[in-house]
Amino acid sequence: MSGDGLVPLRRLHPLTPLVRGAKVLGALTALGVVRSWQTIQQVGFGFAFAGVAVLAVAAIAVSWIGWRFTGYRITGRELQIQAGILSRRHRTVPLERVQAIDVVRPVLARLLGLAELRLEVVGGNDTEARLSYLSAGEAAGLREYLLSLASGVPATQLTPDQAAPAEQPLFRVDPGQLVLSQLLTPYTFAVPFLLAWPAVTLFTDGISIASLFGAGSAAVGVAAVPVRRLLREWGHAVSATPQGLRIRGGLLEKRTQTVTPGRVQAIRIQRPLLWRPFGWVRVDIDVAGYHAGHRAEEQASGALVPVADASTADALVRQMLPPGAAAELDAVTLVAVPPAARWLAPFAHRYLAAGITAQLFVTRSGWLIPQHRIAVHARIQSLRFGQGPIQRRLGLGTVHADLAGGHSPVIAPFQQTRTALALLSLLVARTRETRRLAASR
Amino acid sequence: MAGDGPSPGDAAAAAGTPLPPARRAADADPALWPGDVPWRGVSPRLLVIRRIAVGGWLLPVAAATIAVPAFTGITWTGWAIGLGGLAALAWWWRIVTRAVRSWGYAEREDDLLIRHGVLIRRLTVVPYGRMQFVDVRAGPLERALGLAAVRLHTAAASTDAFIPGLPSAEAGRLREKLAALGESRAAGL
Repeated sequence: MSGDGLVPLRRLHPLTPLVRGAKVLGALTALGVVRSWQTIQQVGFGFAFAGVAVLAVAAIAVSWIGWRFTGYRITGRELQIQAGILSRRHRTVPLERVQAIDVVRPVLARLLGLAELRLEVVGGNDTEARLSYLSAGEAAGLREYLLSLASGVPATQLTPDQAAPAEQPLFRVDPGQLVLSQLLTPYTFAVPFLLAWPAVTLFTDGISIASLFGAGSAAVGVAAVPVRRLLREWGHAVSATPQGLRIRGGLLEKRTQTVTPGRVQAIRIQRPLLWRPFGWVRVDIDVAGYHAGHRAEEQASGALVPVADASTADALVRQMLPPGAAAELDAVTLVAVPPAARWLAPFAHRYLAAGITAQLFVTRSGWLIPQHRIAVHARIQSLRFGQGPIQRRLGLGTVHADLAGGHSPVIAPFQQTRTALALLSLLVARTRETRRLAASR
Repeated sequence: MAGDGPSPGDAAAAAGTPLPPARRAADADPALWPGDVPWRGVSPRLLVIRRIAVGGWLLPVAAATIAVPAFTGITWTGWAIGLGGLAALAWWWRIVTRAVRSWGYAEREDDLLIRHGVLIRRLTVVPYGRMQFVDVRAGPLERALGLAAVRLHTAAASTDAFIPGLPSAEAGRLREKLAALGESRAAGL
């Protein structure tokens, strides 16, 4: 904790060790109870409690030492974080490269009025910088300050405890619609079958604890998927601020994401089969820094609209696009794949299509869950053409547009070779044009 | 590792070998790959590495083909499977030859093109301004043959821009050039 910089290091909130310690303790206790319930009964509950108490003190003590050695400061346009007891870690995050800033408030932290600040920077494999925990007010103030710095406002005009600027609400998920949408998932439909299974075996084999337990845990596991989504997307709201898009949500763990302007890499619009009678859609955005498939919660952090009517979602999608691109969305002509594609995509070939406009690359795919993906030329990193032996035999080719972060590349599969190559060269030309424009600005 | 930065004078010497004329029309299909750009091939020495990989399988497969019918009761099936394996290796030998020839790259004004593949044909376009960093790597076998592989990384994890079997001077030249171009044309995300 030597004052080697001009700006002194700031500490995290003093209650941090308590929350961290409680977390570790909770995990250890759960593990201990599950693994050795019999041992606990043998040694007696009093002894077990004493053991837990000792563990609690130890966990909090370790967390407290860690807290003593952790600090952060902002110098110029950088955020520096120091941590570690034995091996010191010193991390510098350039604020210009920040893609998104999240404030996350888990249940325990919420009870104590704390929050975690997460900075997402492109290129890393994980959240690059975490400050856990700060007081809720400090976290919000720091977020505003960092966002203002990241957007290029001189530091002299700012104070570290910024007031949040006015927000313009854009969307708020309807609770009834959200619940119904999660009931209309394959997971929910599977639960009655899983529960009916023990009843069936009852007639054949007689009652068996093992089959009851197995079916019960399977049902819980399957039902957990929509329930978790419900908890995460409860109260999901999107609003526009001068610093970017603000996305809020969560029932138990509350999170507030801020996506800086122009950092949306691609948009995905899905129409699941079971939602189609209602005309509902789900919209996800790809933001550099959020990594697909890394962890379930991070993957889900891309939801822009968990569920909404097509027209509501459409209006919001248009707001995400660069100026002038919304009009192109109406004008885009999607080129369907040739009939030969049915050999490679027997069900989906009727939905496969791709189109290109001055600023957008749009693809359509999916059979049970038809989806559109919209990539902005200005964000495309690299382009690929691929053709396997079967595709060559059928005269087909596939075009990939690679994007930073997000779900996956935007892919236009099984187009006629000639069309695919034309698409590729058009994409190369248009992306070059947008890069030149961006460079000249 | 390898690809020690060449002095500026080396650049001309390492101007890259022109792609050997393709035996089959499909390998250099002008309709498939842009034909109006100066394609460069990789070093023919890459073929040595690829053939060593095939040869590594040849010995055990040949030994099994002889040993299994000789020491066990499985004669006809053993022969059939063994000969099938050898035929597959022969086919693989032919494929690696064409695969090595199929590698090509072209430095255009704004982007690098990489093409390769016999069974699965690919073309990758990486704009210089999108490059985050360039890797030059050489394994022990490659070092012995004076070869190195160049890999370009962009902010997208799915970018697949890889050129194996470059003479190490050429790999160094490419790295220097790409790094310089990447810096001068860097585009924001």
